[in-house]
Amino acid sequence: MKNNSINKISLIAKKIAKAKLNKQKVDSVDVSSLFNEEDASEIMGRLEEGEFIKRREKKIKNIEKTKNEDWENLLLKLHPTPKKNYLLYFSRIAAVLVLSLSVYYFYDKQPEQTIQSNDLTNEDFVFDEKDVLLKLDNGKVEVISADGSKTLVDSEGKVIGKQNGKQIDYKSVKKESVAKELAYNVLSVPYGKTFQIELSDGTKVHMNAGSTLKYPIQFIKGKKREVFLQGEAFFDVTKDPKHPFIVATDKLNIRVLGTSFNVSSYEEDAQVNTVLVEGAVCLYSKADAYNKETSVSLKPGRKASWKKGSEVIKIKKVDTSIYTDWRYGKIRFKHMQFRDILKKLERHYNVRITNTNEELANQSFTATFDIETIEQVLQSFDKNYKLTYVINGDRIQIK
Amino acid sequence: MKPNNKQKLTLSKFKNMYGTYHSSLIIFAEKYVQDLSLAKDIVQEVFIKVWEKDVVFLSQNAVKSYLYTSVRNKSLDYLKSKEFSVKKQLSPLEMSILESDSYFEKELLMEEVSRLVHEAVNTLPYKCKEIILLSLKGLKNEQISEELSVSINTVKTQKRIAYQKLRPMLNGAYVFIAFIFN
Repeated sequence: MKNNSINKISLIAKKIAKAKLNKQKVDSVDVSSLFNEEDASEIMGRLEEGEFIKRREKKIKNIEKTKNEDWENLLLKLHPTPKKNYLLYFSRIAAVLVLSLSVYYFYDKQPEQTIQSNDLTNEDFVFDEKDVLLKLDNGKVEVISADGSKTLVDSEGKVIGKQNGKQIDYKSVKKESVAKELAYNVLSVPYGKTFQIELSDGTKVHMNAGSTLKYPIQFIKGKKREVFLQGEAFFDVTKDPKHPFIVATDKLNIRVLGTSFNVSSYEEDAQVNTVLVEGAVCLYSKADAYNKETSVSLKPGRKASWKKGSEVIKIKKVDTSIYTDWRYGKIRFKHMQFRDILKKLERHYNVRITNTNEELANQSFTATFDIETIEQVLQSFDKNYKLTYVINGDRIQIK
Repeated sequence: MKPNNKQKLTLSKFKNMYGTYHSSLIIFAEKYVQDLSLAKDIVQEVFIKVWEKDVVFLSQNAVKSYLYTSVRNKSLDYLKSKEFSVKKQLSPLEMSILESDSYFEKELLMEEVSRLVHEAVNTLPYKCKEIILLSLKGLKNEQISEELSVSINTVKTQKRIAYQKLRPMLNGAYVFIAFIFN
């Protein structure tokens, strides 16, 4: 059931109720946005019908007769009073068994597109098949070669950072002046590679393959520390309670004070996942301003997944290493559908995979790979589940 | 994971939710299973689930959406169960109607209207309420006066009072849904 239609139904119901209580004809209310003519006339007819109201009233009476009793029975079921000797024994097991728990987080407001002015824009996306690219504040794009080193300068020629191999450091560079306005760099990591950045506040960001991060060259005192991510990255945020650190993804913001966590928000994935290793983070809709009461807080060892387009965030206790071991070159997945595994493999091995086997796409697998080649990975799938594949350069076809 | 206390479904919020939706959900479930006592069981199960899963709702519509959808799913599960099939077999056509979104939306809309009207009328003083309820059932003033053995003038006066009292609610100045987020 889409929430959208629930909203509509609630609104229409209010209008009809008003009309009814105002002695107006209920069919003065327009329901055509939800119902066809036939349904509409059935609804209006029944709502006007005295018999319909009488029947409902009779049922209500029947229900209310036992309402208190039912409530008490419900309470008994919710708070069972177990015998004492069971209690100790069971409470331990319960703690182990209660591993997963859902939290439903609903965006109350319509997700209006309130794009923050500094947000990632289409122009920020510069992608290269094989090289890491850095877009400077003046719009110039530099190729970062993984075995070279480079001194990075801003539009005025001042040194802002140093690149050394697969790492850029903005922190240890001595600043000639304190920045007054935020200037951004955008780093894009192609498929098959990862990259590390140390931001000006010492926060370490490890970016996974196929990801883009936009961040200020220098954070400004008194302003929140905000970066924009598409793709996946592991953040080890330097503690600074006065300056909250915010990772903005497509629709979801993650707000932290100082902690380490992993965010995965690939455009091609159906979910945005946040896994917290230590500390505390809050998640809230990008359309809203941060509000302590309506944001969802996450504890260490938990994963929050938000299915794009839904109004629900699910929280689950997880083994965080499954979600963060990519930093050590591993690919890990647990009960993951083959269709999603393919996306992971594409990013890790920089290949394009097409799969026409629908049944296989829905199969779930659990595995860890690190030094295997893509062919060896496919072979191991073949052992568990018969599949045929053709590798043609960076194109792979699975049937 | 326990979200912070403000978000947590406290017993009082839960009770409020139960108070607001319990009857409507049963009536709604009955539209599927055609058996009031069974409908009661289904709704009871849904409320247990809400509590045990520690579901956090951040809007009234979210509550509605979750509760009604859960009741529908549980009702449909029952209709497909062996337990039910020994009693009665629904034709594929009947089943497809019950499973359709439009059936869900229709029944939900009608129940919402009834619930809102019922709640508004319930805020009226007893005598007003009695008269308005009969009037909503389509009874004319004369019929109401006969039914309650009061004069026609009393009926008219009470009706006037009732609409005076209902008007602020109708204009939206008064929230006539018992919000659980107060």
